[in-house]
Amino acid sequence: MAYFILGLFSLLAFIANSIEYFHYPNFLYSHIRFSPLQINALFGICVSVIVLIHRRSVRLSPSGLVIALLVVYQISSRVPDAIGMIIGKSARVATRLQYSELDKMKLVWGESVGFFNFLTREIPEASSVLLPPETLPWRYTGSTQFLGPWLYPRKVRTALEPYYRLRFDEFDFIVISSEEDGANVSVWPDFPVEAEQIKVYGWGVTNQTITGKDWNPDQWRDKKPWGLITVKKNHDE
Amino acid sequence: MLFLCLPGYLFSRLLLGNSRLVENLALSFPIGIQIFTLSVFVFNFVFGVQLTQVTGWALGLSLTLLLLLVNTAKKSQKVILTFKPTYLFAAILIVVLLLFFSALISSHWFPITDWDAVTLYDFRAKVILRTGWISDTLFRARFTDYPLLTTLGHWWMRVNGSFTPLPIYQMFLWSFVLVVFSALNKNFSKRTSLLATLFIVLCPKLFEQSFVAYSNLPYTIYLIIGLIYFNIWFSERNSENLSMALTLTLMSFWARTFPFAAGSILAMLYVFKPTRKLFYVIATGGLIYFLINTWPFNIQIFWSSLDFLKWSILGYYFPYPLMFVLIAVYQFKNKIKNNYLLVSTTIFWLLIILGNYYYALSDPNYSSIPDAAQRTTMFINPAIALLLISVLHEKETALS
Repeated sequence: MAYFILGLFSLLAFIANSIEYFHYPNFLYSHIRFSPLQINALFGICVSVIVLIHRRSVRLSPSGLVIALLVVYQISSRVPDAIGMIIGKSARVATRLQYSELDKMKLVWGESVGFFNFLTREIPEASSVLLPPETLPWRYTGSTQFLGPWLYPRKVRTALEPYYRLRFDEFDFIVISSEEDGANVSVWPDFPVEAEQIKVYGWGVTNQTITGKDWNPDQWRDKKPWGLITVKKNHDE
Repeated sequence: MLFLCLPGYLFSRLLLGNSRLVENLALSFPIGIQIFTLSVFVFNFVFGVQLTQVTGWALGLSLTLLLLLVNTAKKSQKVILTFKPTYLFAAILIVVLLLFFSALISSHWFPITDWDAVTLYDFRAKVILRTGWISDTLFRARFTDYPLLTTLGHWWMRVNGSFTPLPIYQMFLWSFVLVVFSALNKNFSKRTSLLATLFIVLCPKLFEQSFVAYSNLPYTIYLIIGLIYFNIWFSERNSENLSMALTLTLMSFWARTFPFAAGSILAMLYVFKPTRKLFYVIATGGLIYFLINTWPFNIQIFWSSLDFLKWSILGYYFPYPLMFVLIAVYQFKNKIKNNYLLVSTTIFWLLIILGNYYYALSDPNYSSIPDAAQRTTMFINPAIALLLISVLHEKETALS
């Protein structure tokens, strides 16, 4: 009976862990997510109990027995996790061999990857870019740490520092973001900008290009836009 | 990536001698990537050689050639294989190899996605890939804060056309498996060594970090392998093991500049009686330096930092802290001769407490990232596991 229960739990634990790692790129964008920790713990307890029953051949002091059982529990509850990780990840690779780099990145960062690539395409390398303030709700689009590597070697500054917010006209481009991570949606930039061109990212649909019109946040607030403003430079100065 | 094993093998052979074939093979990758990236750093940052695929290969091949020449000058010894293959062992080996290759192959598929890897380690590699100069990465982080081992490893993978540098971390993990097994097999049977290896490798966080491009896994591996060789040295008093232990422990500084490697060396100075006075001098100096830097003592922050450790480390890594206490009590009661691992693990705990307090003083938001604290201290579990295994070995030896 004990071996039957152990077999059942081991099967459950290995399958649950493999499924977990098959479907789990990260906690933000995965479709199926359940943590099989409890099943692993039950499996570990089962193995420990069986070891305890069959320990007659080894004489141990009470503290030695506690340590031995803890070791058995630690090993047995972690084996399904480790093997499940390898099986699940290998299965994910085997079923998605044709994935491009973009598809793989989307598994983790979601559709935002398309937007980051849009910025990389649209902004020339020798340019300077102003990002939203480095605070919520702009967790990614406002982070120089995160967006800096995507946009490198372009010069990237966040508008958290008041100086850059006031002197936005020193930049070649301003990122438009309606990111809503952990706070109410807030369209950035939240001030008017004299624009040479406004490019609105289409999220899989055609991008929209608006020329000869300045940026006015009041006109865009309901549309939740994402895109890029080419700042108009006053060449006479 | 596999090319790096060649200079690593030759370097290991130089230190351990050619009789310890399995250990030399197991250590070839961790040592190879270390000496290669260090040479790349010196040639680029000090001598101004631009980093390209050609200069990288030229440097790697020259390093290999140099080590080969030094090796040929050394007297050759007979190769000793400590274990003889059986059918069961062959079956286990096949399973392990299957797991290794599937993990290695699948790691070739995954892009770099973890925050610190995207924003720091891999980013620096991409900057070097583009400009060829390490100095161009300094705007992101100083290499004294975040050393360049993993970054230059990423650069080497990318400059040779690899889509992702993740396989590096699989190589670190599986090298670690082989080192632990071959080291334990010196004193234990094959079955006990396999179980003990499983126990160490499956310690919390260790295995999952092999799919994450952070520097914590390489750091932990250098530190723990160094600890293993120090422990072997205390049993065998063989200078080869001491030089390997010191080399590996110091190598951990090239992965992360945490103070724990100093803990391993301090423990060695304490346990080895002729150097005990030196230990007291260094420990007192270190303590005075710490007190000067943290004065005046803030009991409130100290207390809250202990509370943070309680739930983020002790609670998270339970029952390892309990095992440590039980083993420490047992070792004190039974007066076990080789107490190196007990002393080093105790110093590690002290450094964790003091280091956490120091960090809490400088960053009021320190408790918001328990995950970082867990990654930083994940070496404590394999250290406790090793301590347990060594106590078992001492007991077994005493009984026989």
